[in-house]
Amino acid sequence: MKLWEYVVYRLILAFVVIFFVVVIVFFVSHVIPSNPAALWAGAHPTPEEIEKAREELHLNDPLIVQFYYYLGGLLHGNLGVSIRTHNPVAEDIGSAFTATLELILVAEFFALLIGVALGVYSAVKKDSWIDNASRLFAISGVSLPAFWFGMVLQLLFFKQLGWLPLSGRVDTVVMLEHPLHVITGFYIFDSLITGNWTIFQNSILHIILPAATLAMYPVGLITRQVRSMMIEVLQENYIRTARSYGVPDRMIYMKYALKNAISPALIVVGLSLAYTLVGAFLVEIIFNWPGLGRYATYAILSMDYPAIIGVVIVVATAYVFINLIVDLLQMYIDPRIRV
Amino acid sequence: MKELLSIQDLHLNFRTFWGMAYVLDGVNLTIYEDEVFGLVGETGCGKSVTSMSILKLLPSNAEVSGKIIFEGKNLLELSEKEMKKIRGRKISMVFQDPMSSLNPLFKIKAQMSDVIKLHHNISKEEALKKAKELLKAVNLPDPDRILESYPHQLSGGMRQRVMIALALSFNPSLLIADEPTTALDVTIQKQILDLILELKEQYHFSVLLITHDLGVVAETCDRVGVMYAGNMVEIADVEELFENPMHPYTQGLLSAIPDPRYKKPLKPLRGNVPSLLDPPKGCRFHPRCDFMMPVCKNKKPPLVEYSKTHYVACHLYGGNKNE
Repeated sequence: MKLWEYVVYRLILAFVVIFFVVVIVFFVSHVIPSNPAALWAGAHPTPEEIEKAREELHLNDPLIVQFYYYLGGLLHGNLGVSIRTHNPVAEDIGSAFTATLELILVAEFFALLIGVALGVYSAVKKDSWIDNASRLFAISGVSLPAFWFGMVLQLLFFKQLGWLPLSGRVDTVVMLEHPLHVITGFYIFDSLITGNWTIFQNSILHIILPAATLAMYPVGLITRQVRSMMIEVLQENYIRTARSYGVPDRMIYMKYALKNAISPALIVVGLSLAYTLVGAFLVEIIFNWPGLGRYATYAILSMDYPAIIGVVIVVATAYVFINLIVDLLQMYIDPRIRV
Repeated sequence: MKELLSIQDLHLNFRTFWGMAYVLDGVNLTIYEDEVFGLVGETGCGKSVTSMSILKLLPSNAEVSGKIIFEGKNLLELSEKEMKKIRGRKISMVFQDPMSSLNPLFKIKAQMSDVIKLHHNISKEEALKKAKELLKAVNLPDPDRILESYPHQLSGGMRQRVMIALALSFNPSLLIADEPTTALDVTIQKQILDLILELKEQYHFSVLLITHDLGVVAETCDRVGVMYAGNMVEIADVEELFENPMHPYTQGLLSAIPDPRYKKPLKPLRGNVPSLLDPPKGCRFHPRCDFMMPVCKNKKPPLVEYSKTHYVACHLYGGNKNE
């Protein structure tokens, strides 16, 4: 099998998975008792207005016909209209998703950096006090709940020290005074390339606390995984070979051993990336981050089912693609599993 | 003959969870220039750790004492930095398992050129040229393809040749070959051993060949040391050892070799290898020895010169049997 054949095969598989996700979520959300027509019609609707709304939303049709309408729209990239905001769901999710993605990428980048560094250092200095401290740190990372840790950070850095803002993505006043020309939707990136330094600085200050909260879990996971893999790899015969030829320690650790240790750790990174997507739901509520998690929470609370299905499709797609990317990366690193 | 490496009274203990393991108990051996010295013994008798002590690549729970003199210096007293100049340059090593001794994620060219660059201080292109020459020297066909391969794309014999090529990068004066053919087919074994001997003639290094295969010893070595449970029990020229084995353990080993010409039953050694956590007092072989005397239980026999070419550590030849 050639590489592109494998990728096509995986994409077809991904498509099937996502289709079944859509089926399940659509039917489950329609079976749950709720009154979307009343929500759609607005405040204090008359019975006539509600009946009109039922017509508009095809609620009088059988469920299977409603599903047919939904699939038809989906094939055109149309995720329907949000019952709560009356905006197209795709549009709502688009802006929310970039906000979440920015948060996740920053969190995961630092998680990877700190996790790999701590993991390697711990393995090399096994059983030293630094190793013990980093193990304690890692176990706290995976076991402390995000909502608790996020609030502790807010108490410390906002209330006590006053160094960082409490919540939000950027200060409204700053945004009004220095309007940002949105290109990609990543504020840090957009402000950087348009030279909008005020927004750049402001959005970085805003992202520190939520990103740190979100990174806690993956940092712990990656540290533990890299540490145990490194310890295992350092006992391998090929490391002994390198030592017996006088290869310097730094080269042994950072080149020969790390490449072998990082490959299994990548699976964990991929999983943790998907996990942070879910973790973002809590963190976005705590820090009032205008992302997918916050959007999904409001959608669920108001039974806004087009929005719920839209969010689930996006999250499922992200899961599937993260897994595919991890598999391809592993193939790139390890020649033995290349197709 | 000039002495190249001399191990004097080497003791090695491992701190383990179950207590102290007394792995080497006063090993003595001398390797001369331009010779092949065979080190034989059963699994676990301390052959490999002896070689790892020479390169100081022992795990951190090891305690080592004694002397290892190489080029007038005691290797055990050298710093890690000084050892790095000896490893690979003056003493090279070929390992038992060529399958796991090369890093699976790097091409041969990366692994070879990294080592070559390290010591020769040359550019990457020159290092690759040198690597190609070395691969030719170990009779590998199509060196360009080998350099571009990952270890899993090569056969066991080819990998072992790559390891030998790597070991030759710096004209070492001592090549330690730790069971270099154990993991290979018999036909490939012969090729690899012949290659080592051939290269030895060409590059003039000494070989410390570690093996449990007496056939390999008979075919390749000049002198042999027999180890038992962390002790050197006998050292002799190879013909002499096979013709006139003196130590009861060596005699036992030789009579346990099957001879297809006679269908006589083999005579295996009775008993088992002792635990190194609690080794027998006196001579470590005495519980299994057919010639055991009272003195063997209390006093460790020293390795004494029986003739110029034959050393043995056994009270049978010591003269003080009544002690």
